[in-house]
Amino acid sequence: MSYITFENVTKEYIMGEIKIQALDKTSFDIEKGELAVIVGPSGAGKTTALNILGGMDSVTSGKVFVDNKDISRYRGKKLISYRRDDIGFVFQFYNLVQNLTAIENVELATQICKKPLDPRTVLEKVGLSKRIHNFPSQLSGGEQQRVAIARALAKNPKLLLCDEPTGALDYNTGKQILKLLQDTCRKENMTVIIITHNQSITPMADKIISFRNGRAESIVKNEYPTPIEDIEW
Amino acid sequence: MKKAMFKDMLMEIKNTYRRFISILLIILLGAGFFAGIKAICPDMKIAADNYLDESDFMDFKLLSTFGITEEDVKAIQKVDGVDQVMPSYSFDGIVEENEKEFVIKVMTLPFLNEEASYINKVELVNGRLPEKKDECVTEESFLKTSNLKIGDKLKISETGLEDTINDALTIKEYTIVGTVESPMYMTFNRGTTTLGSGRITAFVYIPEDTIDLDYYTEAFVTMDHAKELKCFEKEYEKLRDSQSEKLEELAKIRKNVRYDEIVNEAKAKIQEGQEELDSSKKEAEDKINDAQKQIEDAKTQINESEEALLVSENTANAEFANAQVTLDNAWNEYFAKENEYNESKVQAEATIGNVEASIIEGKQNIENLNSMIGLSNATIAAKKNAVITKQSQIAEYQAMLENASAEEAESIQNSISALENEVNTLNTEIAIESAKMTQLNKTVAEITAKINYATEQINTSRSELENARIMLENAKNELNKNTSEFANKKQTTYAQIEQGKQDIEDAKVEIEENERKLEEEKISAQEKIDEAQKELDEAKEELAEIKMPEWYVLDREKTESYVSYFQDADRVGAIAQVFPIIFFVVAALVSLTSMTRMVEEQRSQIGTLKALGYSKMQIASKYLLYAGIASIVGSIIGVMIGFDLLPRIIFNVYAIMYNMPDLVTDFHIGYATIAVLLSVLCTCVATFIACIQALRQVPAILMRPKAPKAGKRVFIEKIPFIWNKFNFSQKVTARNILRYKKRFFMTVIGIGGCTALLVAGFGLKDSVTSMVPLQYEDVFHYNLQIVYKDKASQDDKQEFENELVEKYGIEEFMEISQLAMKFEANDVSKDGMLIVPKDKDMISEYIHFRDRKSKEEYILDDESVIITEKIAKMLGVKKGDTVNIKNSDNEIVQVRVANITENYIIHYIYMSPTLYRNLYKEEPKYNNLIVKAKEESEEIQDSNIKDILKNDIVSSANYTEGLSKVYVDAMSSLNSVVLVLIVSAGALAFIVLYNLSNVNISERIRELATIKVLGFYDGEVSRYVYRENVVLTIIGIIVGLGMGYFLNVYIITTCEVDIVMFARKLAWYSYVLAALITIVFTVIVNIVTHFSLKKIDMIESLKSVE
Repeated sequence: MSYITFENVTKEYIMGEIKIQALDKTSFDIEKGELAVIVGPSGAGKTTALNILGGMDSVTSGKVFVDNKDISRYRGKKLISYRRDDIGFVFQFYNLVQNLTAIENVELATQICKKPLDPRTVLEKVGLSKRIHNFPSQLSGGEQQRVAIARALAKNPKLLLCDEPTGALDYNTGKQILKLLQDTCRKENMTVIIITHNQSITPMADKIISFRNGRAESIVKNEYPTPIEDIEW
Repeated sequence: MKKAMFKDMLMEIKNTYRRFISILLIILLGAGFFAGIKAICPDMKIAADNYLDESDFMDFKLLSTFGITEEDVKAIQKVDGVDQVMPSYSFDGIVEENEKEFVIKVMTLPFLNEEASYINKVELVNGRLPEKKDECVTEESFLKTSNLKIGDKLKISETGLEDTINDALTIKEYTIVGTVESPMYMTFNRGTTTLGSGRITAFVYIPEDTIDLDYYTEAFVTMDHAKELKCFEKEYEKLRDSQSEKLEELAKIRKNVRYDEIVNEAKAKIQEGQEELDSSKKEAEDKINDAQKQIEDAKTQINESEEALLVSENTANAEFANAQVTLDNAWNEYFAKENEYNESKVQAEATIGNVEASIIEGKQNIENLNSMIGLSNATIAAKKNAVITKQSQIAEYQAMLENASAEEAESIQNSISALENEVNTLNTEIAIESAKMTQLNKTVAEITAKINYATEQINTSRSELENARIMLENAKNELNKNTSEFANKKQTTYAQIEQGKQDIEDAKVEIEENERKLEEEKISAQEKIDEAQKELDEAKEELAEIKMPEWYVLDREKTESYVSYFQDADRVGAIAQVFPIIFFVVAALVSLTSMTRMVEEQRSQIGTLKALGYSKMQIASKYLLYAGIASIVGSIIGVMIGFDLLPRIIFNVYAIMYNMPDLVTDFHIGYATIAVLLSVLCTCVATFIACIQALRQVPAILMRPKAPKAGKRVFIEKIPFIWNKFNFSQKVTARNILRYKKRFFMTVIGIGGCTALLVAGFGLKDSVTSMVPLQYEDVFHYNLQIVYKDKASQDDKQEFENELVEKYGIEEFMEISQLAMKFEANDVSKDGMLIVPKDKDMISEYIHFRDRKSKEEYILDDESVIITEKIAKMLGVKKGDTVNIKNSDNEIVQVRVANITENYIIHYIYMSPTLYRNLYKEEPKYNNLIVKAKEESEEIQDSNIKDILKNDIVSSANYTEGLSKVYVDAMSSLNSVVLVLIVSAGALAFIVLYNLSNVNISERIRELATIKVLGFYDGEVSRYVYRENVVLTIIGIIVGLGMGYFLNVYIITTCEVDIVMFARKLAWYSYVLAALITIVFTVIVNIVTHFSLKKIDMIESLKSVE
């Protein structure tokens, strides 16, 4: 069995009297240490899939396995523990706590983990060794996203989930961030899943999962991923 | 405002109803509190004014030292502006019931029915009004304290009246027929008196007719048009002052009239007294003279009778001597005659003997002759018998002859003839014998004659002898009689003389006695005359000293209960000045934070509108209207609730102390307007401040997401030894707290206000309750106070005190003099007690003189006095200042204040006996005994009291424990005030914390969603927020404890009634309790917040920043 398995997952939201089917019996696998990119237009269900995978949402039916554990059956505290110990999440808008310095934002995550990494080391790894005592407002967008990635990594998670990590960034900065993610995947053997609507960055991935109308329409394994430096868009 | 925007605003309210409600609620609370508290004072005053108008409460009470006459009343009635006048009586009295003594105020009522209107009309509560002279009504609470019932008798055993009036009180025992409320006593303060314990327990109304006097003690007056005015407003005071002047004018005239009247009366009385004295003097003299004369006469008479007696004695002596001689002669004569008689008697007896002998002889002869006669008679008889026999035989033969034959006739004839012969012979013999016998009889007769003669002779001589003897006998008897008569007479006469002598002696003794009595009488008569003279002189002196009568025109301000009621109302009014401030400040802060948040949330909308060309004002109007609607609705609801609820609660608290009909809560348009305006102002200014910054920006910036408020290092970080000790979460908390200043102030002030209200509330309770133990344990070290009756002499007291030692084993006690006085300084006059201990050096064993703060001990000296703290403060005197002490006769002495001592209940001035003597020129009257008795159970105390009260000289006896209970009970009503404070504090805390949480959640929803995504457990998320709440609460509590202290001081000084000083003490547990309750409120709000936090959707973290 793969490291991550989606098995006929359906997710329905009820908005008043309307039933919206965000995921429709979709299935896909991701292997350990893979960099997977989930692409698709808005409303295709990619974020829903990510939320479910991140333990932030539950499934309506179907099963989700992460490291041989059926997380779709997790509820309440167990689900939180899953988020806490196994997931690193990178948001589109960084979601840093404004009132905390870079290192403090990392510490915010590490203080609750079982086996966290040293925040300072992680920040050095993401290239912020000189700015660890700066507040988010004193950092550029890219730097903020680096802090966010450091925060996710410092938890030493099983997988790193990134929701449009470059969405709020300019081209070059975005590229640097994607590079950081790719490097992390390669060097740390971290399973990284990136959600994006930007088709052009897909070559960097080990696996490209394309969503359309709540389904993983195509799952393409890329034997030779392109280094991010070589990708232009 | 454009229609679309108005609609948008309404939708906004609907969508953000929590925010809307939180603003509405805090405004409701602030405005309600403001309006309610403001309304209490006028509501109470209006209620009182209505009540006083209904019961025709007097505007003035007129008193005169010489009483008020009917003429006075008529004159008062004629004064311009006077509506009604009602004369009346009032005095203090003592009622003894169940061995308890109650001091009461006795007033009089005319006989009127319930509907009649008259000044100071009483309102019937139960039963009926008096209809007969011996009926009375009293107040309901007195029935409870005295265990009397309607229908029971109430006996006024002692009165505080002068003798003349006391005598005029014709009835002393009354049947209670009902209970009433009197406008004279709106509060439960019944005032003080010089009688008994000095504290009046209750009032009693008796019929006016019961008092038989030609004047009244007082007159009540009402003014024209006074009812139309509110008695607590300036217009009334103006009218009252001008009327008062007019009455004072009259008083000047009337007092002269009355003075002349009284002086003339007194003069006439003295004149009369003088005349009476003179006449009685004369009378006494006459009487003594008469008595003197009588004694003299009696003496003369005795002398006379003494002489007469002597004369008669001499006469008697002579007379008796003569009589004795005569008597002796008579006796001699008698004895001679007796001898003579004896001789002749012998002679006569001899002759008689001879004659008797011859008689005996003659009688012998007669006997002999008689026997011979006898014989002859026998013979005659025998022969006569034989004749008779023969004649009978003859008769027989003759008979036979007739029938017999001739032959026989012959024989018979023969026999007859024989027999006739024999009869003849016999007859002859009888005849012879008869002759012989005649002879014999003749002899006998002769002899008999002789004997008779002799016998006669004897008899004659015998009778002669007898006569002589009888004569002699008679003479002797006569003599004996004379002798004894003589002796008797002599004896009688001398006895009489002796008696006479005795009588004279007796009379002499009597005279001496009378003379002595006369002397005594003379002395006592003189004494009486002297006394009468002295009295007369005194009366003359008194006349000379008769002062001009004083008239007192007393307005309502001199009625204790009236004044204390309005003071209470003002006190509540004073509290109203400070409380609402807290609420309004918090309301403003809540609005500010809420509206700031709202404006921030709607940045882009504002930007869009601005870009569309709306003016700043048009845009701001949405938010102003939002806040305005919240505050108008909130304040109107608040005002409605406040006007009704708060006066009711507070009045109910006070109602325990007042005799008042129900409060009518009024809608005070002025206060309502102020409350609404203040509310709107608060929120709109806050809203405007919140808007202004956003409105200044250009649309382009507004439409971009607002740069999140930059993180900043806080000042604590510059203090490494503190900052480094903080763990991660604490650092976060510290930054957050210091980052959001509005929130900080809102929370700190809100929570601080909550804590402060609680501290003030509990503190008020502390102060009141600790006042009692402080007074009766720390200040007063005695625990039993015994009041002596006025009549108790020093010996009585000594005896009683000895009994205390023997019976109860009480060792420590001291007599003190306790007198109700007026203390005056700086134009302020207050009632208090003057205490003079018998031993000024030992008094500190019983009463602690010390400074409340420094605890410095004071001792009583002979030059100055020690005064208690509250009165010193009220009079505005310090150490070294002088105070005037005025007694009930308006005598004033001036004393210097040596020290000011700690004291809580009632006011005292302590003075040494030496100083008292120097000031009053008399010995202090020790009318109280303070005792350190053993600690006993309540039952034993009760029985001791009962026992002690049995003593005739004891008027009352109280353990201080009992007294302290009274105060504690009276103050228990403050619990409701405390409750109001707790509830409002709670409301404040809830609203502030609720708002804080709302703002926190809505403003930080992204942050919270993020940390949830990071894997914070629910508890951890909550703690992340709570930590700030907790710290803010703690800071708020600390600030609040400080604020509470000052608030407490303020409330205490404004709530305090004149007669007590609340302890300036806040117990540590009040602070603790206030803090704990605040924490409880915080915890409750945090629990609610926890569920809101739980509901936060993590998806929020993924949304783009607006």
